[in-house]
Amino acid sequence: MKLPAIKDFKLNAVLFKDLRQKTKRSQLSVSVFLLNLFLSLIAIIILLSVSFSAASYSPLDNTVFTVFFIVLGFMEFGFILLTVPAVTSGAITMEREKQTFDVLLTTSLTTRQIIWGKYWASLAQVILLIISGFPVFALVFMYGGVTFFQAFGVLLTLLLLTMYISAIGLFFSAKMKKTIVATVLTYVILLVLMFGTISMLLTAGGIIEVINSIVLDNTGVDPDLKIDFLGFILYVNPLCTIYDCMAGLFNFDSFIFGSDATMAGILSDVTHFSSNNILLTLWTPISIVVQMLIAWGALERASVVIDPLRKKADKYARKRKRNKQAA
Amino acid sequence: MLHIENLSKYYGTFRALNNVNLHINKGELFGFVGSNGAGKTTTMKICVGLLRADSGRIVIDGYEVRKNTKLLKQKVGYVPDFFGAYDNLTSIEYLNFFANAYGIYGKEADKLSEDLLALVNLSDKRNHEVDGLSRGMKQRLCLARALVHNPDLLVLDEPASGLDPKARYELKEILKSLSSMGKTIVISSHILPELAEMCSSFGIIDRGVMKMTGTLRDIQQAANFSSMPIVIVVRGDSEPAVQALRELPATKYVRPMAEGRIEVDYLGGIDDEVELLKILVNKGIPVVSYGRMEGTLENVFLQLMNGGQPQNGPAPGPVQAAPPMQAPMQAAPQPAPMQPAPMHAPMQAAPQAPAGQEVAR
Ligand SMILES: Nc1ncnc2c1ncn2[C@@H]1O[C@H](COP(=O)(O)OP(=O)(O)OP(=O)(O)O)[C@@H](O)[C@H]1O
Ligand SMILES: [Mg+2]
Repeated sequence: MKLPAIKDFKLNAVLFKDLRQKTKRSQLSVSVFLLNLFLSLIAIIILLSVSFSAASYSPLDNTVFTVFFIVLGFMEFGFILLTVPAVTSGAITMEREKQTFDVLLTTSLTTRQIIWGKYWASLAQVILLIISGFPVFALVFMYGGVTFFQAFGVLLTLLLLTMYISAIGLFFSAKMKKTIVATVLTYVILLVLMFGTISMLLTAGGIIEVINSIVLDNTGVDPDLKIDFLGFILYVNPLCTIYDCMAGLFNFDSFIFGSDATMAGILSDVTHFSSNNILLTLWTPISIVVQMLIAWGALERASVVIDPLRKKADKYARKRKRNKQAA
Repeated sequence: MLHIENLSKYYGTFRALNNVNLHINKGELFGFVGSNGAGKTTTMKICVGLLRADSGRIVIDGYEVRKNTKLLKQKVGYVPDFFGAYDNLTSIEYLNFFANAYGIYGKEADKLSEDLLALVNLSDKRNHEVDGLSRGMKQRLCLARALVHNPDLLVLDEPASGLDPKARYELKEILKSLSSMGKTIVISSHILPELAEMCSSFGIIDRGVMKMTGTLRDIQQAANFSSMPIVIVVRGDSEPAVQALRELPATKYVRPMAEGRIEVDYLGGIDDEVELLKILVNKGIPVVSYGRMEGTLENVFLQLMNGGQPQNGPAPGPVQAAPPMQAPMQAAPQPAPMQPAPMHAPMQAAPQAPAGQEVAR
């Protein structure tokens, strides 16, 4: 595989065109408005409830704002999950549906430039949305309870997860003919990545338990099998990443769980790895690196997929030969 | 400039192109004609690198398409048969975008876009949204877009479809001037006559097979004209000639016209024609002029589409356009006219046959 050149990532024509179109659509401003309306409502409710509790002379507890921030963070993650696939999974298919894509392919833009242009344009749109919600987050700073480092950590993670999810959406947009199919597939894959992996581990854990007890019954020795390396499949899970990030930054164990609530704590319980294992303690950064690599791979694959001249397996070749011989 | 060799393309098991060969010289305006589903779009898409051929090769300006896709994108401009317009972009932004896409930026791109808008007569629409332009305007804008990178070869897939006569005329003028600037242009159409006066050479494709290429003259000559009537002009009374002609077994029908003109539907090739003339001269008939009527382009085209053979009886000539309409009127008062009704009925069917086939296909 040839490595992409710098010019593939440079600001390119497709990016400018898409941004120009997007900024003229009312869609963008409407979604910014709706998101912030929603976030502000939540913020107002929480702040009001805090004010009332303060009014009743109970000591004002910073924990309330920490929880407030965590809730907002997860809500923002949920919002990303909902909107990003909708935006990116249409990036290529909509050009196909509008019959503008063929012409784009005949220009001297490379397929890679087209994909990266589309990618940055979609990202810009989504990121603008996310950033527009930051002022609401900033409310928390007025009261303390969240440090700058914590807030920055959460927002950066959300941003990187957005890049991951966008790439998946764009991949399906390149692969499929219809926007609706690409969108549905993106949502399905996200569900599989988040809940499919967890269910798979639970199932595997159950099966391993059964094996353990059968072996124990028959031989009297406990094989003590655990899911071990299977657990690393969760590196691809964006939900685990944002969870680990929050749990680490805000010390969940202190007020929600009794023990270590990070991914390291949870996985060390169900594997033979110690909770000090670096592969577990660095869960957030490692999983983000894994996810960025997947995103990269998806985009590379997407730029191959949209190339009309790429070699495809010809499943009819044999049938044609047979027909020819018959004739 | 454009050289196509043994090009074949399958869609699944359906063979859309069957060993197509074609050579187009630099600066030529080439008309690519074929009925629906003949394979024009498929051929063109392969030429511009939007489809992969199963076998054969295409060489443009000395470069093989498959190996030099990137380079050739700079040399080829393409207007597809169906294309959409971006929403939320004005005409000028649209052209600017494509200039950028070809690596032309800033002032240069602005100037180029304005010039191209002027070329296709859309300057007054520069700030209109592309989506809101009429079909003909979009078509012209798309042509301007295909010219952004000053390509040597222009591939236009049915650019005239959906245009009104005035727009068609304007398009023709633009294409002619582009051609005179030395660009090689390939233009496809269903209708041969539409291209006749504009194109310098033609290719006729039918069901994936290149039936014929050459100049208009080549095509007319090669087509099978034994089905066209022979026109004879005699001096004085034409009755003896008509009598003589009717006696010949190869004569299908004789139409005496005014001023010694006789049209004969006469079966046979060029040798039989020579024979016929000899017979007439030997009988002492004063023949002033003698020759096959030339086929119209429509006839040529239909003949080629039918595999070079007229389907039922003689194909209609230009003059025969009138008799078929008279035939039913004559049929009523004169139960047994000389010959016309039975003869003309199948002739009427001929031009419609290909259309019927298309529906069936
Ligand atoms: N994507 C496709 N899948 C399957 N068959 C196709 C496809 N595209 C074209 N064909 C078939 O290939 C044949 C040639 O099609 P093509 O579009 O090249 O014809 P055309 O000469 O451009 O016709 P038209 O005048 O209607 O545009 C047709 O029979 C068509 O049904
Ligand atoms: Mg076509």
